Amino acid sequence: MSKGFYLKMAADNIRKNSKVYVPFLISCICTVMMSYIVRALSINSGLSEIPGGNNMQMILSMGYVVISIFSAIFLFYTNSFLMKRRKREFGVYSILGMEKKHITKVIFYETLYIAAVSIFAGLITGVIFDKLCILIIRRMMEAPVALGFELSPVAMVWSLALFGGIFLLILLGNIRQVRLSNPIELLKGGNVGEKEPKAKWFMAVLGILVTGAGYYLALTIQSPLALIQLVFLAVLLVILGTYLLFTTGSITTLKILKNNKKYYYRTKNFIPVSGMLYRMKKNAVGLANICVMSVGVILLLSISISLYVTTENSINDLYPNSARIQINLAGNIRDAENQVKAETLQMAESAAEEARVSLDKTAFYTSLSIPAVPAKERFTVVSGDAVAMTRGLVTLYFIDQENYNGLTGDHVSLNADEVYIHGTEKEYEEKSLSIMDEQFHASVMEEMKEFMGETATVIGGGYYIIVNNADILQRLEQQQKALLGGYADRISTTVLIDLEKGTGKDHEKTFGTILESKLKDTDMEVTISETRVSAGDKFRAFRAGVLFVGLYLGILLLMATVLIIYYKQISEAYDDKDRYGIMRKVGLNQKEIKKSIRSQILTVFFLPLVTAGVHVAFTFSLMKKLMVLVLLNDVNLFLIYAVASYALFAIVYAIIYTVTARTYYKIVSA
Amino acid sequence: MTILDVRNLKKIYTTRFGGNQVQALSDVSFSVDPGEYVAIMGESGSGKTTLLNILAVLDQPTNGEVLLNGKNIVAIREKEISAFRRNNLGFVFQDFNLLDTFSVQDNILLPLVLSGVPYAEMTHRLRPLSEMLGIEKLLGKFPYEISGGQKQRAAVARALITNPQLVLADEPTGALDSRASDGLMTLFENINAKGQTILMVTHSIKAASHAKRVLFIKDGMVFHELHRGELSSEAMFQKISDTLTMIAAGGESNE
Repeated sequence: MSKGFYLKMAADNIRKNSKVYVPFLISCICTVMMSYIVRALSINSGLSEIPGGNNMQMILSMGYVVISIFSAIFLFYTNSFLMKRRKREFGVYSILGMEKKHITKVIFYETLYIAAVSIFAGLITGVIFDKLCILIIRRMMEAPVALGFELSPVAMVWSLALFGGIFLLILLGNIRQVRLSNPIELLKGGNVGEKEPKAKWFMAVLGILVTGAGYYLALTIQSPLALIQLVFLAVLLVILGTYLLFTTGSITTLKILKNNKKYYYRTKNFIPVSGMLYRMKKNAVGLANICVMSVGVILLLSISISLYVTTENSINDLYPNSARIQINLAGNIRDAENQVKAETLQMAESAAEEARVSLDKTAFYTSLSIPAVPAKERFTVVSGDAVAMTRGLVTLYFIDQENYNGLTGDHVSLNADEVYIHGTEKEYEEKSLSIMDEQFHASVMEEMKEFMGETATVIGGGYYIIVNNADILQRLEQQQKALLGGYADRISTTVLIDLEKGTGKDHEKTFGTILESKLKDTDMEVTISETRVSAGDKFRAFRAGVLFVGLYLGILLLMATVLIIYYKQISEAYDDKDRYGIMRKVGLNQKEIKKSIRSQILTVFFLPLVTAGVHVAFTFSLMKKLMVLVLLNDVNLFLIYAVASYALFAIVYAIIYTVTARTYYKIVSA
Repeated sequence: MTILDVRNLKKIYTTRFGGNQVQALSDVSFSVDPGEYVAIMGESGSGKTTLLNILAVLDQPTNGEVLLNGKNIVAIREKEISAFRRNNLGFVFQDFNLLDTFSVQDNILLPLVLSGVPYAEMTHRLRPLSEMLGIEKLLGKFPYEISGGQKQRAAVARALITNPQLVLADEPTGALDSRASDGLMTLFENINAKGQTILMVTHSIKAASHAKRVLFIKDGMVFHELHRGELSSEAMFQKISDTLTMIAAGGESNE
């Protein structure tokens, strides 16, 4: 047989199986496109020039790895659906006298066609949407919009290599399947009598317990950041519980219904209950997948929306001052402190003059931070290298009362052996407090100002401690240095500068630049110097990156969900076709058939959606607390966004249902 | 008093694009009395299956009428067809048509469940029937766990459980080995002896020889008719095969 024959046959096969191939092709094109876009964006030179663009590109690069892995799994999964459907066809070929090597050839050309078309179309749409994404990102990051065409050969090569590899693996997998099976097996395909599933009581109860435990954890974890392992455990428990409930819980429930004869032997229950038993046996894992992915989509969507909406508020919360400078002190603390204050104040004034802005107010405080592990009546400072591996570390922020009063206008007055303490996560309960060689009487001061600002409290909890005088700070600094060496923190003075209200962004920026260049020229040991404007830019870019990747992954997951549902429906329809044919002969009319199909499809379809909703509801409070991880502090609106995301998802889901249900009826009643 | 009266049935199939017309039945008329056991024979393409499909209300004739107990089933409204078939007709198919996802018991009960019969009544009917058919031990099994003959007996049980006016059988021995076929034919005779009217379409001379009357269809018409009378099934077998030979040789109808 000539080469042209196989080429033509492969093309015909794809055309004839278009019902299953078109969605596969679309999903291939979409994955190629999305993968290209993420890669292209992550190396786009224009984006890296935007302030904060580097942060975003780093996130995108990480996202690319996730997307690549996901694409491979996803395409394999959908391909396996195709092969299951076509087994019979290959069986007929071998009965008709085609050898396995000929079938292999046909499969090879088919895969080649699919690969060529999807990579080509994927790259073209990729280039177009890449440009669109760049425009969107620039808009989100408030950078100027550049017109013109952008093309990334590097990303193209990456995509070619990645998807060439994936398709090659798919081809090898398909060939292996055909090689390993004999014609009779191929002919029968999936039509071998299937055992009725058994009720697994133990696993079903376990599923309920595991899910319940996950929910309990999600509801009771108070400080997710301190207990991040527990959070992971909760998530794992809920996922595991979902799989158990879908696989065994559903079947056990159906078995109970079936054993209730009076209920089971009724027209409206008979076919749905027995049908669902087999359906759940075959599809439980798929449904659980859909459920978990739905939760993922909903959470990603709500996080992304919340992020985008609340950026400005958070910037002001995180950076309350126009500029913040932190300078390490050396030698005698009091002298150094005064010198630093004078020098920075003068610097700020001259910078303000040059930038033609006026200072509103400046504030100073001197403090020391020490990482330590809370223990009974004391904080233990871990020595040396071990500090990086220590769990349960908190940060202690020490300040002397003079500095604290100066900063807040308070009138704190302590004895030399007394401290006031205030915890950001929970208050200190002991009456005495010892750290290294020092010992104090501790009293809680709940209303103490968290002078380090919110940036400091993001990761891990912390305690603010006011001591009597700066000499104590100095003693603590020396003892800590002896223990921690290079890891030890130094006493530092923080300078907070506020410009007059109503100062324009550009002016504020100029002021920041001048101040920073001045700071570089001094011999002071500057550790932090940031202005709200530049930090805000970085912050916005970071958020935009997270938002973009979040939305992107959300869409990808959604697409995967849609396709899995579609394929599931199609393959079930083919399975059910014969059964409904028989029922029609035995005396079931079209209307009754439709009714029974509808009730089954509805259950199968909306079970994951409802379960996803329950999951989101139970893990909601946990997610809200975790939002701090992505620097989102304004969590009050999160509920609204979550509900909105769920609604949006439900609408898309319902549309998919309508479309696939129609295809299903068509196949079954054909 | 006849239970089934078929009058001047005609069926013309038109291919999808209206090109060719195929006449499957040209003019078929016959009647069946209560308690009769009629076999319809004919070569492939003679119109047997078309006839059975029309009797089963699965297909509509182009012309003519079918009276079941005096009621014209051709005129039954679409909505009532399924209920009518469930209540009046029992079906036995060549390939059994048992549902793999139901146990034997559930397969048998399916028509009753669809008709909304209470569960107590179902078991009441199922017990004697399954004993008569010798499948009482198979009720909990699934179709893929039992042999072809057992499957066909389950299918017969499903056909009989609604106490139908008429049992329609389409090549019931077609997928069975000879021993299972003999068993099934004896079963049909027993059922018939209890007063059940049976109409069977078959290829098999052996199967047909158990019937009380055999109709031969050729080219869409009833070509010939044989009554068994007091003949043994062996003698009937001989008579049928003679008739078939004659039909194949292209002879005219006698008698």
